[in-house]
Amino acid sequence: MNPFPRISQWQLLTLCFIAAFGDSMATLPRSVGEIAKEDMWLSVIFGGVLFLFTVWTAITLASYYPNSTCIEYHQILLGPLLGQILNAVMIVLLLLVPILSIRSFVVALKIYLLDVTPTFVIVLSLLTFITYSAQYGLLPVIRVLQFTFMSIHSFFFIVVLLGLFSIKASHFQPFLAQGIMPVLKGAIPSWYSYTGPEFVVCLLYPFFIQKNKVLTYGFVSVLVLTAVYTLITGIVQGILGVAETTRMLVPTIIAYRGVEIPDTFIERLDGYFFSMWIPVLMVCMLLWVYLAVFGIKQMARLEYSRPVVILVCSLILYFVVAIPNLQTASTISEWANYALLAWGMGVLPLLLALAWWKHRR
Amino acid sequence: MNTDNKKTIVERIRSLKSLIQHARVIEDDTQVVARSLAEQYVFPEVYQLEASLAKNMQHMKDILSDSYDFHFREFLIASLNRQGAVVFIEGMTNLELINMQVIEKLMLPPVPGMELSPQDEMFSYLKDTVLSVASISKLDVMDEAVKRLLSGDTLLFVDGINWLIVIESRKMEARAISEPETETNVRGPREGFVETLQTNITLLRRRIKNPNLITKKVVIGVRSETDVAVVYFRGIADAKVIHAVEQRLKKIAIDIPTGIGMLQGMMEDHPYSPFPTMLATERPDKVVSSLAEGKVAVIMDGAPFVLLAPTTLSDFFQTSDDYNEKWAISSINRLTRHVSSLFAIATPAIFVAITTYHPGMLPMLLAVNIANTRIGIPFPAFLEAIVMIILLEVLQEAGLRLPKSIGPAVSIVGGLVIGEATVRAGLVSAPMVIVIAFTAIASFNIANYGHDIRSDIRYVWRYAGVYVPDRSS
Amino acid sequence: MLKGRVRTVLSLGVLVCLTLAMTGCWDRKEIENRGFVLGVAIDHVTTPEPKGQYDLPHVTQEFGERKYRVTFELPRFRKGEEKGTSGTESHYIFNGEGESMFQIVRSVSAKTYFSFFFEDTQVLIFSEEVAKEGIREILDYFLRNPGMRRKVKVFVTPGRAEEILNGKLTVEEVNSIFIARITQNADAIPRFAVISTLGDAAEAIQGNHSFVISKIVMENGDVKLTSAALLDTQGKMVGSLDEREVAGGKIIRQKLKGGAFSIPNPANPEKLAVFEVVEGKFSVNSHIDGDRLWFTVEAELAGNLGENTETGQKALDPDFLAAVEKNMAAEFTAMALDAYYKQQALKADALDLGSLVHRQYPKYWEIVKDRWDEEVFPTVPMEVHIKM
Repeated sequence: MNPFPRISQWQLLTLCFIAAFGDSMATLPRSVGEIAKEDMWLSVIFGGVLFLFTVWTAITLASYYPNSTCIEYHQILLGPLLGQILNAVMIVLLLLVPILSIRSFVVALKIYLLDVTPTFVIVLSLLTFITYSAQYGLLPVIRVLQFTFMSIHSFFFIVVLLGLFSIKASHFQPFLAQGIMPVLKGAIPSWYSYTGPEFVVCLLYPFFIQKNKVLTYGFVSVLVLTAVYTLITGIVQGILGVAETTRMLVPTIIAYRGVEIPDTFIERLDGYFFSMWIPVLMVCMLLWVYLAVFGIKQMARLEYSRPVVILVCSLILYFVVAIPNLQTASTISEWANYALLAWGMGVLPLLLALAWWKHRR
Repeated sequence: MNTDNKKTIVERIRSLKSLIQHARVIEDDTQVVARSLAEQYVFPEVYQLEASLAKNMQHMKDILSDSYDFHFREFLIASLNRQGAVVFIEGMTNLELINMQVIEKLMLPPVPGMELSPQDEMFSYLKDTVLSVASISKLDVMDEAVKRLLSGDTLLFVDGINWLIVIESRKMEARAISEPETETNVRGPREGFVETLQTNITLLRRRIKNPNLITKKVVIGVRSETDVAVVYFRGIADAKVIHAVEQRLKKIAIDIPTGIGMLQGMMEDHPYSPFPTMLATERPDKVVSSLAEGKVAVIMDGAPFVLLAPTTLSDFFQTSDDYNEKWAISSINRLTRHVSSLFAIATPAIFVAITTYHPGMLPMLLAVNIANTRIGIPFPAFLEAIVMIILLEVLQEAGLRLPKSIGPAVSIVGGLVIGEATVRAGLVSAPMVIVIAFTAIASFNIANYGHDIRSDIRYVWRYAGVYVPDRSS
Repeated sequence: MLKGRVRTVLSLGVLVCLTLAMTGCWDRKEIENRGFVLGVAIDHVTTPEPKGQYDLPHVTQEFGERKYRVTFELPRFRKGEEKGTSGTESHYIFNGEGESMFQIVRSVSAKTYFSFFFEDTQVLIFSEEVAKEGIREILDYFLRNPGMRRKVKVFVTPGRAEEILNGKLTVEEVNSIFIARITQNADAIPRFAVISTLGDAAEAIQGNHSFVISKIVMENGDVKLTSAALLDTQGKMVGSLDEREVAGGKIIRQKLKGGAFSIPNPANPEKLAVFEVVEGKFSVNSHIDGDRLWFTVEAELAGNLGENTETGQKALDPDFLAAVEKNMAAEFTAMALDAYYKQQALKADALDLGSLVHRQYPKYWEIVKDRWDEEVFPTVPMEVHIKM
């Protein structure tokens, strides 16, 4: 029914950006600020640079096998058994991210927006949207993402930029007071915010037209992402100061609750921030769920992905509701962060080395 | 064992045969019954053209004589020295032409030297020397002849031959070309389509003097035999689309297509979707530009609207005035339409969502103001919005179908009732009235308001709007 | 698979259920049923208090004293037409007495049909007695729990805080809104204290800084923001700054953006010369030489002579102007130093000088930061150079 999907380079950029830009920006300033203090925004930039390396690895690796997804070339590289194990690990990672993100998002939503509505219902309505949009395959998903990117994301950035009105310059000093080490360490928790594009590239590489431009556009998307994250971190730091940023559970929201632009109709930003953030997160999760579904479909060599979508979404619903409390969630997400870091900085380079070695012979 | 088996098989086959025979008998019987029930209905194809004029006339009477507008006139064809008859339908034919060029020419004795010589073929003799009409043809099937007769042509029967001559003499009363009512324009042309297929095609041809403008005819309607034309630009339109349109038109099995909207409903991909995938327009200039863009037009006889396929959402936001203005201004206008559509979807929803869920989004004084107006309103804001929208819909429908002279009365009463009285009575809050009114106006803005196809979108927009409060929470 | 109609009905049913789930009806609250709390005032419970038979304001607590009296001001919603027929007050006042803010809010909320909604709160007023005991916990509660915004303006009043919300204003306006609007003038009038918001206060408490909260007084329907209350790192009020010191503090905090100042006319000390500051360039720095730390304040103020009560004087006379400038500079220097010494004496650095050191000498700050306010700050000298 569906034609063979073809992804243009602008769509690639959109995909990469949306995959990374979801829930984590709410907590990014805190997790980075705890380590890097006043230089938190530098850490974010550094994280972006690190991430560039991973994206480069992923794209170079994929370009060895331009007509197969990573599910397939993992099996070529490592043999069927090991390859499938690696695929399973990857799919667990792909599922873990939406579970954790939806969880922390719903918690934030419950605190600041809908304090009486049960968690289950919020998650359910989120997942209903995702189930509906994901079941028709890659093209509809991309369309939804593109549409949101053009409309919602651009509006969201305007809202984010309005935060610049109430930053205080004194919150950024002293510069590099503790040396460079905390900056480097701070990049580690920022990984969770960046992760996403490497999976997009690995899984969807065969569909890209103009494969010679994938690297450029992948890099551009990561650079844009870095810029946006740096901006958000900087604004939050500028509004709240380091001490408050590290103390708050979701500093970004707190910061935007503090912004007031008197005598304009907007006056307060947090409502706008939230109402834009909901669709932003929704499409991000949609992409992650779709990637997981796509992976499973490829792994099991299924023809239709619809049952997988329903299965995956109900799994996510179960796990999101099953996480008992905040502590568990934050522990899991810490581990997920390390796992994702290991994937990006460990597994992918190893695979690349292997592919390089195999092709040299 | 073996023979037993054979026997049983033979027996079975035999019983099967008899069963089949029975079934055939029953089928024949039912057909007879069905025929007798349908006896009233005349099928012209069962009649044959005969060599005798009297018999042919009898057939024509059988087929048509119940109708009083059916006329036939017998006379002597002088040049052939045979009886002849012309048959026509009153009101659809050019009587002058029949009188002067047909009957007169046939009744007068032939000019000396121009008589029918034995070696001449009769049809070419009549065509070449006697009848001075533009289009003339020979027919030997009754079915086809009746069809031509009913579309306004005149039949000429001649005694002793088993074919007839069809003289093209159509003269239809048609509405004059006038300004399109549903798509008024400021600077565009003032011509609109009319109900006659041929005129409509002419309107297009006049604008495109290009042999690659192809018109293809499809006949739709088992009973009505309505002409439908598929018009496209050869070499520009996608062959797949043309093919799809033609195939789908041909597949339509319907007694009488009453309007072009019916065709649209039967041709579209998603019959359950409220969104149209074909655009109906009344403006030839719009059709022309769409043809040049590669779209395929469907024109039906009797419908002043032309369907364009395929259509995208943004087509519904274009008007031909856009191309008669400076680009910047029309771009802004078009943007206004797009934004209005968003307003039409979302305003009541956002209003309900913000006031009942997140008043923190409002500036404090505005929030207090809105709360002030809602004091004593018995309904929740959500219900208020729904009630107002239903009210609006009822009023609008009333205004739309009423004669023009009463129409304004409805809007005055409605405006007073909705705008003033409900607010004064404390049933609905004033901001809600403003919001609903704004929504209504925004939804009119989506494209030129007026006919059903575009209002589809409008309704969808509007009702989608009522529903959305939920999402934004 | 299910057959035709059953399937349609079932899928429609599922659709309806799912969409119903998306409505979020749990949080529905009509706007007129929300209690927009515009102002909150916190006092100590006065004893003896005239109490009715049932003692309605009292909040039942399992544990804790009856310590605070919290007053909430809500706008009175009226239909548009009734607005002309005034005479009714433009606000509602609700009280609750107890120790736990949380329980007070809940219990007062329960007495009305609208639930309290803090997102539009404008002002938070403490009485001086409460401030002297420390407001850290109360601020923290309001910042975290009911979702007050960080831009809520915080005030201290010498008398009863509830009077400020209760009292009738000359202007027909909800008291809290009126007060919040006055603060828009804070920049233009130097003697208005720097307006502290909840966010500022929270940040100061988090960062272990002292801070100032402006004072508010009300008399005969008139409200004035005047001097400031000085709070130490624990959020306890340790003293007040008078209006002159507030202006001086603004110089050091680089916040002096305008305002009129008067000095004796150099030519005739009986008369006034009023100088209006139009713009100011400030540069405040800390310096370290060995173990010694000192601050310098350099300011360049530009302005014009707003008013001269000595008539018949040539206002453009260079000598006269020079004299005015010199006297003015001296006055500003004295103001700044006065403010500084006062705060040194109170051992509370509300001038952001600590964070200045932090910014400029992060290593040194690491050493002194734990004893900054008490030990180090009172001993640091300051030089002020002001040019006109």
